Amino acid sequence: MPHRTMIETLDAIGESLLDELDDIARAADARYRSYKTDDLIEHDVRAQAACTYCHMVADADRKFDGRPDVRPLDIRGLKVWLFKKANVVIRLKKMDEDGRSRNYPTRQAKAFDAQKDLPGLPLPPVRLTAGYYLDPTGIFVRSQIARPDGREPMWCGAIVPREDRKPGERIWVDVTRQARF
Amino acid sequence: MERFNHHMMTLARDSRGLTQAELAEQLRVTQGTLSKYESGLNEPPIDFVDDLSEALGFRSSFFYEAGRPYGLPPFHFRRRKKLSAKTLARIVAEMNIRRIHLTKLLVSFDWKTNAFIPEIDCDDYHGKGKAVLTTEDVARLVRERWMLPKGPVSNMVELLEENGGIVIPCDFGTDLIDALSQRIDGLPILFFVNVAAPADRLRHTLAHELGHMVLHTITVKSDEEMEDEADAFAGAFLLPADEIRPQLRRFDLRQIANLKLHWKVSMGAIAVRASRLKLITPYQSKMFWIEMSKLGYRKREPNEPAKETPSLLRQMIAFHIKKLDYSLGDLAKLFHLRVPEFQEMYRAEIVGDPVTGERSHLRLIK
Repeated sequence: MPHRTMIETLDAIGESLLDELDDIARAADARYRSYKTDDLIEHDVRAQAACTYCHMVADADRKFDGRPDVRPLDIRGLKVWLFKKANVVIRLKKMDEDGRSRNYPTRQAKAFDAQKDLPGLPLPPVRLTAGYYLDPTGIFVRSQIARPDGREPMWCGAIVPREDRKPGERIWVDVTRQARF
Repeated sequence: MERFNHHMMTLARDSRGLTQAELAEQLRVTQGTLSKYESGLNEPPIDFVDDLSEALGFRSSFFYEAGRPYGLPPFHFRRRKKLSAKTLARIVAEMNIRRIHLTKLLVSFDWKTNAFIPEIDCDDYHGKGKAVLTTEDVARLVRERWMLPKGPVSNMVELLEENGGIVIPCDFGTDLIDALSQRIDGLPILFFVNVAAPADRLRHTLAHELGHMVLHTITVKSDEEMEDEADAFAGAFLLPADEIRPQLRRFDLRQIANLKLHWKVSMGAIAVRASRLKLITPYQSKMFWIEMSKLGYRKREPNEPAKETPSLLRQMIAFHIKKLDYSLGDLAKLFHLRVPEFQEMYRAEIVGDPVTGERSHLRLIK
């Protein structure tokens, strides 16, 4: 697989798609927050993540369905979108601040994270995880996009909210945890 | 002829945050002269009253207003210990002045309600059983008496105003004090609240002050005991034990943040309530506060509920303007204020626009 750097990958994705991914994550979180508070207090972290995920997937389907350059794939329950032009496959997920999605991954999710071959999905596209990061109180902090590399992400970028952007600057910032020496 | 009321002089000076020495210097008199006028030992000449009125921004008539201010004992106030005596004196003076204004507004504004804020003496009141009432029982009783449904109190300000209280928004000029309350014969119970306080804290503060009014009008205890009881009352009133107990079985920041959304009570108050109900260990409580500090939520919490705005005071002013045809100048005169001072004291951020009901600025219409 030809190696692409974080900048190359995110530049290939382009600002408009990153914006869309940011919108998807934010809208899903906002939708979840709009639930009746009686329901929210009965939800645990997993229920919140599951509900938000469903809203993200539904929104992504609405946005990407019918686009010639996007191919939605369902690999044994793992929903991903192949963006042909950028040559990336993206799945949506809740993440921690480093871009790690903490759960018990299925076999296909493990294979996805390890950038391995998946049935119906050719190898070259880079597998990416797009999603959101919440603080410990469950409040939305930011949208992120990460390149998994097995259990640990190789890199993670935070999408800058529209109101904080400066002209001429990239709309994402590298938030990859730096190794300690 | 009306007599000079030396109490009003102290009130006016305190309200401007001036010491006797500072005011004496401003008026170019000795502090001794000022002190004698202020203590009622000597009667000041008219010229001096005019100078005083000029220096303090009140009309001369203010100093001839009958009555005397209420000092600290009848006040119950929720404050932090750092608050200086001088600031407190200024705030208490402002409360007294606002109370005088309210008395004047109530002369023409016909406000009657059958509902009232009860006074309950825990030692005397036995209710159904023989056991002495706990603060928890008192909070439940008040909720029952006011026929509050289960669940969160939707609007604390509205609830107090519906039940015989008047909530008066004030700018205390400091965030070290949240509210003061006062029960005076012939007047509704007054709750003075700091408009600068966050909405969740304001709700708890009002419930705390309600606790003082219910529990400590008849029985007066030590300051610490009363504060603790009022705090426990606020928790029990806003977060009834039978409802919050099962919801607090999961005690983590996320759950508390969601509970805050539901109950519209600060995360801190929910944690304190959990502690009081012995649903968490002291260690859990300590860790909660450490986590909150780390996230910077001790100063400003997330999930802030919408601000609750009092409406009675606005209605009273609107009634005087619309129905009784008072101009802004007339109202200022009624309150012994100059128009700019009146506009400052009753600016839009405090009472909203009494004419349109929206929060825009009061303007002088000539």
